[in-house]
Amino acid sequence: MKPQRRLLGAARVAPALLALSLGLRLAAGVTVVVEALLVARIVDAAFLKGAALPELRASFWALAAAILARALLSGGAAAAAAALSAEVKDALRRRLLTHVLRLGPARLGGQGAARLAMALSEGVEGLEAFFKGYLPALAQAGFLPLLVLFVVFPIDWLSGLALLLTAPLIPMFMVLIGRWAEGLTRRQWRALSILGEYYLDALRGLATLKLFGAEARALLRIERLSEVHREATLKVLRVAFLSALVLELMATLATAIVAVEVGMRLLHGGMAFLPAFTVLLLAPEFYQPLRNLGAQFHAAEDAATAAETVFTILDEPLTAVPDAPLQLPAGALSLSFRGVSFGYPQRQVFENLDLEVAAGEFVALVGPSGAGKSTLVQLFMGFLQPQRGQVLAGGVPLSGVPPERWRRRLAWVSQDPFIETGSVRQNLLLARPQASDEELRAAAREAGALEFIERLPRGWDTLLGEDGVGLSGGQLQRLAVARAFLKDADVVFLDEPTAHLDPESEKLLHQALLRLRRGRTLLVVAHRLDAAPLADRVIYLQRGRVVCDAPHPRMIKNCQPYQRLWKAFSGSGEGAA
Amino acid sequence: MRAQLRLLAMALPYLRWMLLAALSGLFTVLAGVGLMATSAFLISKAALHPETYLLMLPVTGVRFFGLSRGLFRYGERLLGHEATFRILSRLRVWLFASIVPLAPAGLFARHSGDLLARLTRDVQTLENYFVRVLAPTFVALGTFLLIFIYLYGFDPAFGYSFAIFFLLAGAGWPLLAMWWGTPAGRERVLLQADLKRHAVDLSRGLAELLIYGGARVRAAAIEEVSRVLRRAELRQGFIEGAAEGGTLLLAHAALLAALLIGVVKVSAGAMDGVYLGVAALATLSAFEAAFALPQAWQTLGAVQAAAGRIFELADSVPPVSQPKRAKTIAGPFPLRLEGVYFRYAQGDRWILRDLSLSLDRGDKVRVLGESGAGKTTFTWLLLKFLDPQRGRITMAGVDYQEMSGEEVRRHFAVVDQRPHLFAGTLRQNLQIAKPEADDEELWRALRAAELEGWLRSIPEGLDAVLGEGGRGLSGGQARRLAIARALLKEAPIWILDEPTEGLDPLNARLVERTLSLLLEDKAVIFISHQSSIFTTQQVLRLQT
Repeated sequence: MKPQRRLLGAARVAPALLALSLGLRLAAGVTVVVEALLVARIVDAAFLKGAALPELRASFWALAAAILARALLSGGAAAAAAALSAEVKDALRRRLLTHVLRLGPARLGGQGAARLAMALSEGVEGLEAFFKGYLPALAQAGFLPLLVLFVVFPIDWLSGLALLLTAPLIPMFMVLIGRWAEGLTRRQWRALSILGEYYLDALRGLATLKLFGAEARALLRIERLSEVHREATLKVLRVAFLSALVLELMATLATAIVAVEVGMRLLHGGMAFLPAFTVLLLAPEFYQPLRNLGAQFHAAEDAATAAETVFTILDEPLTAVPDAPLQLPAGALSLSFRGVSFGYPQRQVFENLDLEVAAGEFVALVGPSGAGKSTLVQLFMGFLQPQRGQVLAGGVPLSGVPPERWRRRLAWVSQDPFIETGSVRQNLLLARPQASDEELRAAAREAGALEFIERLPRGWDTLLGEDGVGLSGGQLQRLAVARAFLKDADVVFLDEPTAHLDPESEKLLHQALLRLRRGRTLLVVAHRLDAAPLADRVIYLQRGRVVCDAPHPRMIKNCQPYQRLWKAFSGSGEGAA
Repeated sequence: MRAQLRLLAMALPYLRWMLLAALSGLFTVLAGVGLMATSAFLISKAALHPETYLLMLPVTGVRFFGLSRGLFRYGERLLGHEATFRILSRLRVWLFASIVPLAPAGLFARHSGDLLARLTRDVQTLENYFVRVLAPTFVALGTFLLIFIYLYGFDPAFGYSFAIFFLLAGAGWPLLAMWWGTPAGRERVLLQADLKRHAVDLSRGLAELLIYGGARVRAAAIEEVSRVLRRAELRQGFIEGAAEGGTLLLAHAALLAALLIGVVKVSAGAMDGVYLGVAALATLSAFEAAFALPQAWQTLGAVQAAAGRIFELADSVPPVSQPKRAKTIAGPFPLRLEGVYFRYAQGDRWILRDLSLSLDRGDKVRVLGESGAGKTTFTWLLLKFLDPQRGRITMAGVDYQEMSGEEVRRHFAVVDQRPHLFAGTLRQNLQIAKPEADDEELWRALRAAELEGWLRSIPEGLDAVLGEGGRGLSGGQARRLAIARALLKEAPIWILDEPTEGLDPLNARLVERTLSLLLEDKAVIFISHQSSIFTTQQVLRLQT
């Protein structure tokens, strides 16, 4: 149960609320017992001692007070648990954000963006079930049964013993049946999930099914699978629900046994009515918390699973901040790898790699997918750190430069540029919030984006939707290039789009690149080789090694793999520069 | 309300299962009441030291209720799920059948990509309808009536007092709390959506935001939403606490009232004291049924919304006409478009305007046009996923209006930009095109699509599982698999919609070569702005 301890640890931010929510819950437990004692007293007095209402006034007032206290304490405990959950989630979100800003995008693992968004929303939200449901139930289950025993033993030790002996049976059976059900579920899970997913899959692929005239067959299959799914699921549930059966059975049966046992002793004069009735009232309260805990168990497991996405991100270690921060020289910067080794847990990418890009040089990086092109750029941008060797900018090892300082000098044009909901202007201003309209226009003009921006229905104020709906890939790319101009960065990394751009867009982008490179170091990842002929130098990367490194015309002559790529590329109808 | 009635109608064939489950639930509660009431009677009676045989019946009763409650609970859970799954299965089949005529054009015109995700979420919400709404309501009603009658039998005052508190605890107070909590709840849902949107934005743009310096501001914006959300949750938590405390208070106030009434009656000699504990404990333990109601109220709202959305979708009119007596044709040639006009809604501009085309065996037509020029619409018209508003489309002289969509599509094989591969084995994916195809045939198609080498390297062969949790395919392999699948269909007309989009140049080139070899004799309509796979005979230019 280590993940649960971890969840509990997250409550450190609000120790007072944690104490309050649990304290109120326990205090409510005390009122449960008090109420039972008072009820027994009243029944005993009225039934056997002939007491009328006036004599019982005090008892009734006490009972009313106990009930009111019970309601207030339980309600308060629920509210406090909700408050605790709200505080913990808020704190965890902030912790996650702080961590991620320092961690950067590259170390979030595959599907990083989706995972981070997931962790921030659903992942954190998952904690609620733990703090509002499981934790209070756990506290109650650890306390109330003990309290009941403490009260029952002095009254009637035999009944106390009966409760004490049956109590461990409940968790024991729960665990046994839980294990059994878990094993059964796991064995069937894969089959079950395949069956369950087919429905969604068939809906998504409905057009494809219709193209093949397979919709009627799919319908039959859904019918049949639903049937199989139902039977398989029920087979699992038949076992899983056994735990509910055992819980209920143990609790009610034990109450029944206690009732019969005290009844018989009462009959034969071995016991008085008051203790007997008190024990009867307390017996169900003894089992109730255990049943609640059982009901919350799955919620807690789900919470732990959801929270795992949060903790995996938090567990990613941060790189140390340099003690003596180094300065970078002014102007365009050279870039270099010195004996860089880098690998992901699954595969090694670079082994002792050396690479040089001179200040102000324009280099195109090409090679098959998986060659390490993107990883190389991530290492240069400082989002990944080499395991061995050094990454340098302007001759200064980047490990000694604070990330913010280095990033101030950079611009990045990704192949899928980040566009947020807002106007074109807002999206450009991201690169320099205080830029004037004149500067904006100048940057857009340099990037070859001015013309299309001004042709947009509302010009600079045109709203771009999520993912920049309404703009073509080429236009988005030029917008991103305009950001690089606006920032006036000294080093620019550009990830060429893998998707094809129309010839006009491509021409404009190339012109923009040639303007962009003036006075800057420019490293372009050329997936489609579009930009390669424009570059001063082309580096062909394969399996993390530099295979060829020369200007484009020489590469065409001497570098075989590049030749092949180039032939395929220019043969597919365009790009013959 | 109407949606709920339709939902009920859909569940009607499983009335037997529902009734069994609901009765089990009712008996579970009643067994609980019985256990406490009989025990109280047993102990009270025993205190008067009667003859032992007089206690035989209550002892048996206590034992019976003690044993049976667990069994009833088990039956309730199991039968309830049995009923749910049966209803759900029918619902899914019905929903799928109602959506089939709509896809893809009828779904596309309504919404973006989120429709299907919402649809499955809605179906999942309906899963709760029986177990969380119908059954608890039935159990609460049954308990209310039976216990009212039972207590009324001791003394009408017990019955009325019970009824008032039960209604307040089960309906009055929770409904009030729900009404009170609705604004906070709604605000919370909105804030959560807000937070999610911000989180997605930050996550998607993290690299650029860090480099351009906007990350801190965005993170601060998320923190701000998180803070507001925290406050909304505090408010909601307070209301939840009030709801829980209030319900508890009402249930135990009912106990107190029963005791008061009982003490007055017993001391006045109007009731045998033996029944004092019985009436009190029966009253309290019956509230178990009321405690399940607040959740039922909450779930009901969600269920109604989901059912409304589902029925609305299922009721929408298919985008194509279906003739009463459909004609079939031997071969599709010539395929002709004559002066075809199309737009999605009255008053929109025409997307396709006066389009004409004639296609015969072996013809190749290349379709050009910017994005948004109606290329997808054009293929949907050809495939009878849409009907033109003016002009007509004919196959071998027969108007599409006189043919069923299935008959039209029988003559087409399609490879598009994002071929859908189903989760399942390679064999299953291929057999969608031809269920009766044997392994020999499948291998032949794979060979033609140049996937044989790859497949030989996989130990599972045709039984390799694709999709989530299965074997991943590269873009090129997926495209080839789609080609192999289309080949199996042995259709005379091929539609290629950007078949190499998103592939790197090397793979794109290879896929194009494969296609040009395979489709030499076929009639092909291909949409591509980058390459000429065939020595084209006709060019069709679509313009915005």
